[in-house]
Amino acid sequence: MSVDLLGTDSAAAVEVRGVSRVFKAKGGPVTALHEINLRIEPGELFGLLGPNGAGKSTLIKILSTLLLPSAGSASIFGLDVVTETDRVRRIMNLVAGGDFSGYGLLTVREQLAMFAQFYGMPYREGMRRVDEQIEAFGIGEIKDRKISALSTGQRQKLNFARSFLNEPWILFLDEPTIGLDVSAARDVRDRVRAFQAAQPGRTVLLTTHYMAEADEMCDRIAIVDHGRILAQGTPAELKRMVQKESLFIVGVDALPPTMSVANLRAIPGVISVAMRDEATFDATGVGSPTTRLAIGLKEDGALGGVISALAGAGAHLREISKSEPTLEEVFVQLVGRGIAESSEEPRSE
Amino acid sequence: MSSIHARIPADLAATIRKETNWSLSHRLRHGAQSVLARAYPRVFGMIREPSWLFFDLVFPILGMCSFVFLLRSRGVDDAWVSATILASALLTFWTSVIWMMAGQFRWERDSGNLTLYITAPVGLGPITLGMAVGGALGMAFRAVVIITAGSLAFGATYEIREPALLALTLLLGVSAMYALGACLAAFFLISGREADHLGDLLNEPMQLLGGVFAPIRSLGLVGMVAIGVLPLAPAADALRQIAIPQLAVSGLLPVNIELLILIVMVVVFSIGSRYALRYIERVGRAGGKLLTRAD
Ligand SMILES: Nc1ncnc2c1ncn2[C@@H]1O[C@H](COP(=O)(O)OP(=O)(O)O)[C@@H](O)[C@H]1O
Ligand SMILES: [Mg+2]
Repeated sequence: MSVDLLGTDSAAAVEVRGVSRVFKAKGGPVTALHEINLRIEPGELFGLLGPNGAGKSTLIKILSTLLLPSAGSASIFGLDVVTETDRVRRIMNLVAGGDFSGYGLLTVREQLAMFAQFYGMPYREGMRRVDEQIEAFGIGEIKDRKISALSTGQRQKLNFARSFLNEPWILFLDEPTIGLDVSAARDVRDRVRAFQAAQPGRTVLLTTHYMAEADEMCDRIAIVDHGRILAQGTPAELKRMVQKESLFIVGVDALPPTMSVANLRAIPGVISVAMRDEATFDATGVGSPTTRLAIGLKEDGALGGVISALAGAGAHLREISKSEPTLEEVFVQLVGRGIAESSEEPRSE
Repeated sequence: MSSIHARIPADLAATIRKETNWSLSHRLRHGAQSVLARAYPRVFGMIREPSWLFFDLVFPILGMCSFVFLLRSRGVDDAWVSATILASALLTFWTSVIWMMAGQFRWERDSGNLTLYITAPVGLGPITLGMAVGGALGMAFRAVVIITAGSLAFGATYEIREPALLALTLLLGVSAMYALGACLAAFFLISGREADHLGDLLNEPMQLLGGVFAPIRSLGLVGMVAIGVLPLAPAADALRQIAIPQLAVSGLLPVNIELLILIVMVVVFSIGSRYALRYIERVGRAGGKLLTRAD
């Protein structure tokens, strides 16, 4: 069977085929995942974006061998997560947000050393990697500090350092930056990128409900709600899905008297024009009035006609920028509500 | 991103399949390393917390003293004072089995450790063994302190004619206790809060004192059976006979039989714990609650 897999497998890092998961709960069964299909390529940083209760952690748990699917199957680099559990565990690691793992009485270095033993490398190699990660995360000066004395940010850096020790081919990150301040979150994101860059093929599956994090970090994103994948693609592809027109912001010093909003709307390819007066500030902080035009076009090419019409009428161009929809807009459109207001009731477990 | 893809070896899945094929020697080395790694925080971590050390020593010593005074006030033979000190030392191991084994998985689950242990390539077996080895080593130190303190304070004496037999008895008794502790750890994780009262009961010193400090025979049949399944009773009884020759005649059973009982206990509890560990992993993966923190 495994030979078969190797022969035909085009080496997906993660392959999820029709995975469902039903939980028994007091109020009756809860379907956390409905026949999910997903394919993640080696080397990708893939994000699951969705509100609380969407099923993100459930999928991560199934892929990281912590939970069995109720139906369907999944594999990591061709290794089945149910029948080849031991092998999957040899190539994976896991970080969850708000993780307080380890023993408070150990020092940072001792804790990393302990996990290095659990991950199966020879002692010396393990210690080499421990020191390498301490260095990489810049936690050298706290390496002899007890775990119980660490801040949340330091603790999460330690968790990330731990997760890199076995140099996993697949790294699962379940809301890893929750509760971190901006700078600690940036540090761990940088480390994740460096970790992937160091060895082509290392794959990361991240769950988050932070739009900006998903947008900034992920090669591709799946938007998940109520146990279903509503859409997936690169952040740019997702944004294009909701964008019906190409929107440009054009700033001019003032709209010439010979030109009106109606004139602009008459230009071929222009769908909509809206006007706002604002001030712009130069490097010395001196403000000057600017008229900003939000111009919706059928397609990007129509911009040329707009610019030459404005220039021909004597307007001085100050700025031109393309306005991208945010992931938040994509989310609202797909899910029908914002991510902040869509959280389910807090669970009492 | 496409440039990264270009550098990914086409046969990565095959490479990974080969990489994950660990040899037996690799697995054995890994298992041994994991046992030691998990034992480490128990042996060294505990020494770092002076308040723990204090309570770990003060309470057993106080308990021992009060019992010795009770015996003395009744004019009991000095040999029983020696036996009490010995039993107190053994009782520290049992206390640690209850506190540091039975409840441990629940604590590990709530701190997120259990998730990491399950998903590590080592499995729960070596980690639990490390937990036991570390606990036993940490407690051995306390046991020595208790025996020394008791002997100095009360002038207790021991006469060890067969040190090897004594060591074997101690080893078997402690092994049986910790193997039972591993079973209890799995049981407590599964049963949750409802099992708490069992923990209290097992740790109720007066319940045990009967079996440990005094001849178990005085408890009657029910008491004998109840206490008898715990490795503490045969271990204490055998040690008493071996180390205090005057009491050899008051033994419940001959030492050989008691050693045999302990061997059976070690085997049964070890096999039982193996199944129990597999069982919690299976139930945990099926149900979704045992192995991860509730968030
Ligand atoms: N062990 C469990 N038992 C019962 N219901 C669960 C369990 N784990 C998760 N659920 C339910 O499954 C759904 C998905 O949860 P989860 O995967 O944790 O969502 P997310 O990580 O996206 O916030 C939720 O409705 C949650 O209440
Ligand atoms: Mg979650």
